[in-house]
Amino acid sequence: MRTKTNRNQIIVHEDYSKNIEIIVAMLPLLAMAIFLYGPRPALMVCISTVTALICDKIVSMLRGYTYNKTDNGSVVIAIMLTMLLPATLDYYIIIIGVVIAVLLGKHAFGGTGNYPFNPTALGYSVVLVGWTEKMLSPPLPFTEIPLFGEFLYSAGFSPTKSLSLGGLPNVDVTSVVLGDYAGAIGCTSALILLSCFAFLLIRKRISFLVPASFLLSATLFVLAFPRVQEVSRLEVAGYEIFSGTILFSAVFILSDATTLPKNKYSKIVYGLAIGVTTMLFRYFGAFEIGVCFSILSINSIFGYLDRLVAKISTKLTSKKIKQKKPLINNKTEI
Amino acid sequence: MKKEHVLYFHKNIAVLSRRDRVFLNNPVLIRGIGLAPIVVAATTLNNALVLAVAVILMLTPTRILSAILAKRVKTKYRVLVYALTAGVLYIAVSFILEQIFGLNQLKLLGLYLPLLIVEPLIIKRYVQPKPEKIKAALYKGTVTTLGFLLVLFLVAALREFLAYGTLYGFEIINFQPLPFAKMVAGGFIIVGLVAALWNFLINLFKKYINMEAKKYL
Repeated sequence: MRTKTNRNQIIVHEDYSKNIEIIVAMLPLLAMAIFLYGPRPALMVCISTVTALICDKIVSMLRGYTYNKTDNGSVVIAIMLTMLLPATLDYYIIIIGVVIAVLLGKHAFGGTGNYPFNPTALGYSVVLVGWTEKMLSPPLPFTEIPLFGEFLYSAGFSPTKSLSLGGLPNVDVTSVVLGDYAGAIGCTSALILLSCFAFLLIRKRISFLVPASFLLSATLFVLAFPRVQEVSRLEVAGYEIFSGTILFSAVFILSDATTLPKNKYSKIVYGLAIGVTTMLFRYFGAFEIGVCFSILSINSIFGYLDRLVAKISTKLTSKKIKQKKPLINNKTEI
Repeated sequence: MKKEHVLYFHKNIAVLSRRDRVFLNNPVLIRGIGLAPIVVAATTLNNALVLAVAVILMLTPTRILSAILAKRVKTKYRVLVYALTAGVLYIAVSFILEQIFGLNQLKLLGLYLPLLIVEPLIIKRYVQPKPEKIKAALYKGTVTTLGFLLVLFLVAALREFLAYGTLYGFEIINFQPLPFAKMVAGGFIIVGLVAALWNFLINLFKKYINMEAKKYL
């Protein structure tokens, strides 16, 4: 997939326009974040983008090929990672996360088209495990956060936290859908996320099967085994699906074409498996957020599962071909 | 580098890259044995010191004792001789370690100290059909220990610095650059990065030897 170019000749990378559209789809989320928290999210995104570009440049120097300006996969990874972080996170943590995601998750395995693990999920898990307290105490919406320097803020109680403690969230479902609660900068507003999903679907930039099966299996899991018994199961499912990072992961992180299976049936199995493991990580894991860990764990076994599903599906289709009647009708020949 | 050294390395590079167990054929970074204690237990230099003493006391003696005992044992049962020797030696080693470091410090390592008994680093020699000579056992045991200790202290120092910002308990910087390093996953990643760097340096060295040797030949 990596394109080698001469100095004068510029070949546009094949994923260039797709990546640009994914970045454009993330801009409304950034605008919402700026509306809620002030200009700091914009600076965070700028810092992560610049870090990703510097990482790309360093790798091209190390590996000895000409740097291709149109290969912008790392920028998408960096912006996605920033969207998953709370607005109060220190800048050096963002830089470390992006460096790990781009250098270790993407380029250590051979760059675009080769990595087995989702780089965004890897970077997010490293940051979440390393700085758990800072990651899981996001500020309340409409707090003005200064660009530089230390500051005190009142940390909000996110719906995922209250659900993991066994209680009901202190916000109602409508404000969860609108994004009026403490959370990561790009993951709170479910309405904007759904419209981004529709935009990317209409432009045919992401596959419908994986997010749909992922959300379906997660919803069914919550409906079958709700964590809170006091309200109706549907309401609990609304809280679980619309809060946290599930919806953002379904739309953006799972759309990463390199780690997606190729077969249609294995895409469905992939989504179902990630949905179930996400909820299991949420229910029994050490952290209240489970999507990134589940994506990484399913990525690790999916090379095998992809081949298995492909084998089974080819067996089934070959049987159908055998059962069909011969195409040439003998009677007409006479 | 002197002409004689360059020519010596150029002539023997194939043999050396098999026999030199400290740099060119490091047990951990090139052959991938002895990873478990380094990845899981070596999170601080303090832990690494305990592990180092344990490995010094166990590796070479096990190798020598098993070389003596395994002479008349069939290849099939030799693994038992090696593992049992290591097990018996560990009883003595655990008492010595308790005297030196105290029980509280040994508890930090948990299961990974007794697991040294079946660590491939210590008992891997049973695989080869020909029984080992005692002199060779002494030499190879010592050199393997050296190679292991080098990597152990390197990785432990890196991990302690990244995870806590300290070195052997003394504060060096005020914040924690990468708290992820104290976990097992972080250990794997750091050992992988160190191995990549090590391989890069070895390739650089081989290239340098080839370039220099061309001048003289």
